[in-house]
Amino acid sequence: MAGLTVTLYTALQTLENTQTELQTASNNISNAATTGYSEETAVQTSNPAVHTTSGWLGTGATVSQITSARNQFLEQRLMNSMTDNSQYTSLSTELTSIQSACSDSGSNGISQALGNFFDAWSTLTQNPTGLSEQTGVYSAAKDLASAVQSTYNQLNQIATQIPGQVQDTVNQANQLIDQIAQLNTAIAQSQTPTCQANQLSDERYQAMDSLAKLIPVSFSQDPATGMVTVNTTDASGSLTVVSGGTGTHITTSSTITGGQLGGLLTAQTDLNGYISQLNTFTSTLMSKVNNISEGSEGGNPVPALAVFTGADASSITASTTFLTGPTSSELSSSALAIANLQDNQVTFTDGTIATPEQYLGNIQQTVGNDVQQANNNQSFYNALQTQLQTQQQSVSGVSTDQEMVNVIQDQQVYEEAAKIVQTVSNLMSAVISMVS
Amino acid sequence: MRITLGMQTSQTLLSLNDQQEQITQISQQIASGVKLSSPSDDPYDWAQAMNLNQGLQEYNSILSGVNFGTGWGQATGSALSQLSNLVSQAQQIAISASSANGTSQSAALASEVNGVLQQAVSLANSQYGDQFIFGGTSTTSAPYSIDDSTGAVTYNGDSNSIHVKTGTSNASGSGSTVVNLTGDDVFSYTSGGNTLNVLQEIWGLGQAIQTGDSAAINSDLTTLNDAYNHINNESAINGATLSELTTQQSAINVMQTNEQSTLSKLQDTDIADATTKLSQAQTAFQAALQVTGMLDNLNLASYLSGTSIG
Repeated sequence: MAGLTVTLYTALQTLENTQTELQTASNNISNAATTGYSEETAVQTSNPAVHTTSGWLGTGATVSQITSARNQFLEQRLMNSMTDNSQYTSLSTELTSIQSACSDSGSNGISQALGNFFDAWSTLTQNPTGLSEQTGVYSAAKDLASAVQSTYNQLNQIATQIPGQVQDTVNQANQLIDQIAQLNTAIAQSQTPTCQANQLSDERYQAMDSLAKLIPVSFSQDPATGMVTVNTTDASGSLTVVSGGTGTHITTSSTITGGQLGGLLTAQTDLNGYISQLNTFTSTLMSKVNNISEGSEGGNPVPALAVFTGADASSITASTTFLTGPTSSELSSSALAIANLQDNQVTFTDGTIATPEQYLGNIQQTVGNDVQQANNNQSFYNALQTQLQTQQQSVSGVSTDQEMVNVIQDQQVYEEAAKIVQTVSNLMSAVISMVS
Repeated sequence: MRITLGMQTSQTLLSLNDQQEQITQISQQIASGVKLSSPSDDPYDWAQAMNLNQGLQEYNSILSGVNFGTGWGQATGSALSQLSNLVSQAQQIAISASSANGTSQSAALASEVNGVLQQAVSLANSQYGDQFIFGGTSTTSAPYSIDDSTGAVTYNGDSNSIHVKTGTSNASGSGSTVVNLTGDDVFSYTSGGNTLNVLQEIWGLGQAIQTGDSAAINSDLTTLNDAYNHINNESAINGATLSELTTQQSAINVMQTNEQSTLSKLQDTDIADATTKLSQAQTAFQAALQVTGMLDNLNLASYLSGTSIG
């Protein structure tokens, strides 16, 4: 049979266990608002029983390990939604600034300048040799050229900034990849089957979440070592970036399609598309106008003079002498032919058949659609991310109510164990007084 | 479901942000008066509005062409009607001259014809603005001059038409109107198989009266009559152009009004609708804020602190 001493030690262990649990609860409450923290639980297991004449007698409980509440499936889904959300957030941010750089409502921007340009030619039909009418045409041509160039420059400026942002994103991602690899090593060293490295693991989840915002991430954990293998996806498929303690860096030339990096790369592709549309518009308009003023279409002015020089939107320049030379009647027929360009659909060099104004409208519509789509996706994935975060928090978050209940329970258990110590102490005193 | 601290905050934040964004958007629409502030608000409507804006601008420039054509046509019309008066005046002088007796009377009539001739030449050099209207496309120099001694008429103009943009060019029309009548159109005409010039005929009448050549005066009466008819014909042609331009002007005005109202539907804020939506969004936002405030006190710790633990 077990003696009083066993009872005393069992009570002592209970006091110690309760203190551990109180500390765990205290730690949970203090980390309730810590990002990336996951709730910890002190797991108690019964001690082995001893055999006595009256049968198997229990000898109390031990806190065997402190576990952390994680659901890997939820974590993975949350990472996926973070990747999508940050992809469309960065795409939407880039495209919105591109949109305002080339915004054109028809009463400002290129289309306004184009309208004025046609108006000026239309006015020139009324008095082909009139000084003020001619000045009007020169200045409208100059305005149109500079409106096109300034839009081009704005877009081009953004285009030159994107590679820098891509580089920054890649650098950040590589730092995180290294950090995850280091944490892998640290976890493998400090973790034993009964002693989990919860804090290091929280830190690693946080690093993986951060990485998931930059590039797509999928991970799998080796239960033996606690290390994770992290993969990302690019155009060719899956690509391992962290394996054990080794991180593999990504480069700016990667073809990763998701996350902030994917968003930036998509924005770059879209932007190049807009710039090429602007160039198509410019070169087609220039050739149509010049064909008339040089005489291969419409009238046949002598000497043949080009209205615009340059190759595309970056270099379009209005000549300042194109009205000098041709006769009044030649100018009159050129002016009418150019003014009529606004009414007729022409074939642009990219195959589009539209009036110049329609083509400009088409560019705006393309940009607008892209921004709208990015915005819609962004708000959808943002809501999805919040929903998954809610689920993840439901599993891993700290419920202060629950902790309070645990604390009350611990308090009572502690008081009861103390009572046992007191009782055993009284009994022992009685025994001692009997023999003395 | 297990409810934790992190859940409450992230969910509340998302819905508060959403509602605030909505309120900002609606109040922006009300403040600016337009519901489209960037292409992404509605890409299709934006492009439509852009084309409409451009169409309205073109209509303005077309109207300027129509007004120019109308002004030019009116100047031409008034010159032609004065010219026809002058020719008819010359005819009356010719009739008086055919029954004239005495050199002094003939001399007076001849000088009267000369006066008519000078006026006719100055009409031939009429201007609209600073452009000579009967010179074809050579509008910068006076088209007509006459040698008083030989009666030779010099035309410095050309026979080109002035095309002014007065419409949109499409499959059914070039979008332009010829607004001018050239000097040749007005002053050259045929009579009895010969191509004659109005100015030269008037000069000829003066010569015939001065020399008392009654046969020549009689033949001038015939040719001047043809000239009179010719000028009235030209006047009718000019009148047709003018009425065409007037029709065009009212058509453009109608189209302008239509496009303006379509544009307004596309881009202007419906204030009544927007205000209602705004007050709806505000109510929802206030409710959300209130609920958020209430959540703060809903936890065990705050309840226990009220009753004091243990």
